[in-house]
Amino acid sequence: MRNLLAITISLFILFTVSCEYSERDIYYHSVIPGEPPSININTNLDTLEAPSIIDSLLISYEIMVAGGEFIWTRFLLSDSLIFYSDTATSSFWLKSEMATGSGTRELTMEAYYSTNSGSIADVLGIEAFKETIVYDIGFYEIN
Amino acid sequence: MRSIKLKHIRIIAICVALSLSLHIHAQHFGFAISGGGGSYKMSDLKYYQEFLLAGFPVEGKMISLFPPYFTGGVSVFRTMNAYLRMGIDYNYSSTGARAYYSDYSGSRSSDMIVKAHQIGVSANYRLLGDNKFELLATASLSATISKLEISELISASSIYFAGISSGYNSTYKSTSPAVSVGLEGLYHGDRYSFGIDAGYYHDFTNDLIYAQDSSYKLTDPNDSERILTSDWSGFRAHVKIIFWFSKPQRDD
Repeated sequence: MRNLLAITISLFILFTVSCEYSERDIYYHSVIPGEPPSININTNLDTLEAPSIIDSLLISYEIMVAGGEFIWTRFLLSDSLIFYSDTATSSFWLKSEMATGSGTRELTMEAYYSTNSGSIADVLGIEAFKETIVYDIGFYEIN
Repeated sequence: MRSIKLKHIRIIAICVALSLSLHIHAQHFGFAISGGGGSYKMSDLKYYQEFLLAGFPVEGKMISLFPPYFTGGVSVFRTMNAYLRMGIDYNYSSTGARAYYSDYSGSRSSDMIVKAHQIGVSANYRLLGDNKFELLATASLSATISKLEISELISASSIYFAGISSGYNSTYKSTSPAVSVGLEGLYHGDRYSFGIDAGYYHDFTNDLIYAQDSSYKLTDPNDSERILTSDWSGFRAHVKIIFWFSKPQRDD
């Protein structure tokens, strides 16, 4: 009798503690971000298909975000920051001395934008997506 | 109003103390364990949770709003005569609410968990039955000690801006008198009895006081003069097992 009572009380205590209310369900709202931005880049060589730089190269860009907002862009040459702007249309000079020695370097453009998707980050004003474009640029050292 | 509630609590405390003075080693002494479900009114807390949901910066969803949930308890009692059984009861109940929103960029949640420890005295009066089956009317007077935990969290990530993650937790407590009435059916075995009971629990409610600062109370966000309460009023049903340390005779 006593053993049965002790077991029953123990089970009751365990059962009661484990039956404390808890709720783990979540509600997930499927938000579909907008399309990536349309990005146009031009140079004074008319092309960015592996151009070669002996002196300098003017790079112009235009970023258009349909239904969203452009935030910021930056250009990196072999991971070194060479230009940044919060203007959607701008230009800068890529100079041969920006590279150390001759050879092919990667010019990376990163464009940050929001799409007004209605997500919680968008409502709080911190939504950001990144579009990345990489070009190969040939540099020739002038002796 | 407040002084009346405190007076009720004092009366309950005296009743509990008197019951404790019973000779619990006397004959016809028993111990019961029960478990079941209960519905809980919680009008003020439902209102407050709806207010919290309305404050979401995005359109969230109420996942749960104080649903019926498990309740269980223990009691010790003695039979006073062939008809009357009196005892001391402890009962535990909990329920809660959750409002939630999440998407690829973050989440917002508002959770409430409210628990109650109910301690009181009870009387069971035999309406009809024999040595095997009994139907009893039950009534109890108790003190309800409630604890409300509110937690709110918002988080959002961004690959460019600094992410946001903030939240707060707060705890409120209240003590209120309560009464319950109901019916109990018992099947008697040799030294055990099995039964079910069902009834209505009425909570007289009391102010929810902030646990960290008793001068601060949970108020209606649209009427700062109105103090919010937890209200455990509702229907309860249990299954129970009774252990008789000395089984009463019912040959009357």
